Amino acid sequence: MPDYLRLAPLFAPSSVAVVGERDRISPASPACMALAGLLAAGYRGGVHAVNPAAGVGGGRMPELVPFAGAEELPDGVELAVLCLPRERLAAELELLDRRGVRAAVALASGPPDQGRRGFFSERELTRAAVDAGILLLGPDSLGLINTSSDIHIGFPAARPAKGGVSFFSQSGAMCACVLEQAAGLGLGFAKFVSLGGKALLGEADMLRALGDDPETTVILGYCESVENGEDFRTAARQAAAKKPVLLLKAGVTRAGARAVSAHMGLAAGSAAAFHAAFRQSGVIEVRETAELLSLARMFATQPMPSGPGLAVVTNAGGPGILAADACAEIGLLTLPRPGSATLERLSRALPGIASLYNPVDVLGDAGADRYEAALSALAADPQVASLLVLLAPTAAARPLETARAVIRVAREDNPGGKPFAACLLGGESMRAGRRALLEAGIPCYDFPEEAVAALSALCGHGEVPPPGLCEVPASGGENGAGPVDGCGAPWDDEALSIVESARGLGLGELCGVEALEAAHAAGLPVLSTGLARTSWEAARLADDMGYPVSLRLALRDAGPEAVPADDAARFARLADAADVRRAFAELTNRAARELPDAPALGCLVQAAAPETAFELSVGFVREAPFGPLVFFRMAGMGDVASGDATDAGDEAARRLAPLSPADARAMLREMRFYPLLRGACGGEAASLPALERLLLGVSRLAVRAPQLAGALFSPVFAGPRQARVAGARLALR
Amino acid sequence: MPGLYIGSTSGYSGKNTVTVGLGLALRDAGLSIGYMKPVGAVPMETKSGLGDEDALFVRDALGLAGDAAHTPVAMTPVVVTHDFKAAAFEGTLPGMADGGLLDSIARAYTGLAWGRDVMLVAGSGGMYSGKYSGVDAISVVRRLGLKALVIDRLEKEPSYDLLLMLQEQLGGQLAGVVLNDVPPASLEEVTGHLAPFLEARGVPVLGVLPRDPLMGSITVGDLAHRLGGKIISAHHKTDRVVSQFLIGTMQVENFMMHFRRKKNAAVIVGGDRADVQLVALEGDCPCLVLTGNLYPNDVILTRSEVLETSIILVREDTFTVAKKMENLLTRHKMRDAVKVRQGAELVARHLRLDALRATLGV
Repeated sequence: MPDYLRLAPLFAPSSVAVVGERDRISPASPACMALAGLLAAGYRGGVHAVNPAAGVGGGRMPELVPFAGAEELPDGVELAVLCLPRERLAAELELLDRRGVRAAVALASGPPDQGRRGFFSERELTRAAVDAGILLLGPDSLGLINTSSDIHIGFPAARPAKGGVSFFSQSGAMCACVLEQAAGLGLGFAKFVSLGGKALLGEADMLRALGDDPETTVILGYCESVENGEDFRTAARQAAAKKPVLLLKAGVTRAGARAVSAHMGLAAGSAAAFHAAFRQSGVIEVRETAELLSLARMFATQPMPSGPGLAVVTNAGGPGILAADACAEIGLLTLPRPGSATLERLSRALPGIASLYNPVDVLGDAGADRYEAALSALAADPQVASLLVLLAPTAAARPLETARAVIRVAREDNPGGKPFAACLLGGESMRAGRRALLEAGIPCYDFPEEAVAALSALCGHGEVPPPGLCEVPASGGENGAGPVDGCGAPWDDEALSIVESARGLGLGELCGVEALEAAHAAGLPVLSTGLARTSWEAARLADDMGYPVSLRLALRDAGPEAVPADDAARFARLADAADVRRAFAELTNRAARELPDAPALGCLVQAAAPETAFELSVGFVREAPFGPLVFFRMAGMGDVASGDATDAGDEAARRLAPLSPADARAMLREMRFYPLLRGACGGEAASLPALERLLLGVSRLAVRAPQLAGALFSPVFAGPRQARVAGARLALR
Repeated sequence: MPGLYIGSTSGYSGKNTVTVGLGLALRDAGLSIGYMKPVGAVPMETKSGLGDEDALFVRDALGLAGDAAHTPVAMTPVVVTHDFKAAAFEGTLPGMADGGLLDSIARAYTGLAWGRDVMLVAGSGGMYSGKYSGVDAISVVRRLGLKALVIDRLEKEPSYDLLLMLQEQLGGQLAGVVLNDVPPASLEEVTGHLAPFLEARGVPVLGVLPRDPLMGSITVGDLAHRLGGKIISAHHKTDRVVSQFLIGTMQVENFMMHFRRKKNAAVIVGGDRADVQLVALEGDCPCLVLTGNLYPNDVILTRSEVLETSIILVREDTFTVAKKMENLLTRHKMRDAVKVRQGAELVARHLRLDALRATLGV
């Protein structure tokens, strides 16, 4: 059954009952207001009231006789609107279940419970809803709107226009805010949902339902926390494959995350994990409320462009330059030179001093006619995939006429169905023009940058094929080829045994040779490494390995590296046995002096890395609620096992495991130093396939070893033929 | 020429402090002194061979840096390196079974003692440290025919059992004991009851050194180094001293209460607790230790520069850092001039030099 049908009792019930408190029968009681709101919206199904006095629903249905309790409800009521104190909800659900009610909205009644009490009362409510088989929205929901079935619960002041945008939000206040803002922006809604406390229905349910909903063309959402990461990702991926999904994730900064946890008593998850989850699901991540609304207008009304070419038509130089700058900065749109046929049409229509090249300047004295001619010419140009109209308030500007001209071209002279956007700069004088554009479904912005950002997002979304469901490998797969192929070396369960035996010893972290052995068993390419307890053992190991070798201190407990990085270079390429013995003495002596509390085991002897190799770090960290987040960056950048960006300038690529080969490729390509890996600036290139295999191998380890809380492989030496792990730390759970 | 062995019941008890203090006092009395630390546990390569870092420091503090005989190798004939230990455990260390190591110590001693009025021989670790290779304090004292001064640093109470054992083993060679780091609250009990008891059992108490906040402190710069942290502000103020620490994970109001009572306390606090950081900075703590590798915000950084309070950024969590810090404050080497002066003064004031000189016959 499609998900919008599963939620049909919620969104399109045949009959609704509003349940209020017995002793609160004033017209201002939540139940009476909900009832009045539902009736005012013109809901045509059956309406019943439990408890609220008759007639208070605005006097429209004097025949409405309230029932004394839910047990008196007639058959066939599908949706119950509960305006009850939280502690009574669970019991009421049981009653409603007996009357055959299939869905319920629990509206907010007072400040939410917090702490232990809140936690347990919500758990009880979840259980009650599951037991009763009732689709429960809330508790603490502000309401639900479905414009197509005239369902309007809560949100007393709002009457949103019909449209293709659907919105869900964990925060009720954000719902109210978006609802009011959208009215002034000409946005029409299909569904509008305040999720509240998410005892049962959460983001994933909404994504599924709205993804399937034929009336919804764009999904907007505001998320604070997500409980089941995998479910969320699957739902988001499926929805995003069908229509644009724009999500605003709040709590991405540390301060914000703390605010979320204070607000909801829930961990908000790391920002990096959310970014990755959104990106890998094909969700468009929005960073601010204004952007959410600005993109929504674009996605709700305009088709996807067929390419990056944007034509800008302006009546003033400045705004055109700002638009061009914004295009370059975002980097998704280009300003192509109009084709020769277009240029000819433009030169015929525009005065001799007009700039015909993109941005096309129709000059300050332009009226609507020049705009119409220019737009018509550009819309026919095959290089142009989208159009932006800029109008500055010059003396000759004719906002309303120009707006009408834009609408005419967009509707009647736009053979390719290219997306249009407008930006009318100015205040009062532009109002009529703006309204006309909005009513005609052409997004109109106040400033060029905002317009370009919205067009860029549209283009970016159109360009990237939505991540196909087959592209994302299914997780799990204990046997067989495993979740990821292409890691290079096969998997050996010895990796798990090493980790398990360390756990058995009560260790919290594995490092040194054991960690490298585990990495090797997990199929990661590891530099041959041995632990030497004495200088002569070090020399013997080095003899066996062949020179040059590198030496590193091995501490019994994982502590800070004793040797500063600039000094480590001295021990990186030792040419003979005498050097090795000297280096061993120097390193262990220094440890005795400087780390008296962290006894040294000896030194790790390792085949030296090629001189030109890049030093990189790869690893993963398990992030609630999404699971392992694989990261990749230059070595030495805030090498904390968390993979968190700490130092300024830290740059890392992150994706949630399991990675697909395409993910691994994209991770390498998004690094700023990617050109260096390719051998830019005359350096030697690193083997990209080897790095991709390594990333896939780390992803496989993350998926197959749930006992690991995280892992850091650093340094990884990436040379022209291979990538080799030289150091490893595994954090155990 | 008489020699005095300066040992202790455990490591980090104040051997170097007492050696330097004693050496300077003897020198001021017009005696020519020699110094050695026969067994070194803090290996350090020098141009003239492998030596011990402690030995070099004490030599310089005693004004013997220019003395040609006091080379690193001569002062410390036995340096315990990684290889040394491994060989000893494998039973392949030359000189271990046949007393060759002791012989080399004796030879070096003779060389250094030539022409001196008195030799100071400093120990390493406790009195039994080095037994595995035959170079423990008891063996060295017996072989060189030294008198032994044993320092006992108070951990709640003196190690009287151990001191009595040492008395049995060393007999007349035990010159006496110095009780170090005695907190003010225990001073009366120690001098009134325990010292007389030890004296009655044949263990002369040659000094009771009261606890000195400066001696148990560490500079901000050293602290950062030992914690493996990074100083991110007020770099010019890293010479301030830290003598205790306070964990700033509580509510600000509670923190203030504790904070006012603790002097020279470094505040260990999560990088994201700006409230506590601000209070600590304004309350003039010697430094902030921010845990979890979290950079503070600009307000905190600016304020720390203005108030000249260094911020140390460390990787570990607050609990781990506190644990490390506890170790650090009680177990670190004396390395700066301020502490040498302070230590010498303490020793001069509280050690019964006359009694010791009488025992040594100088």
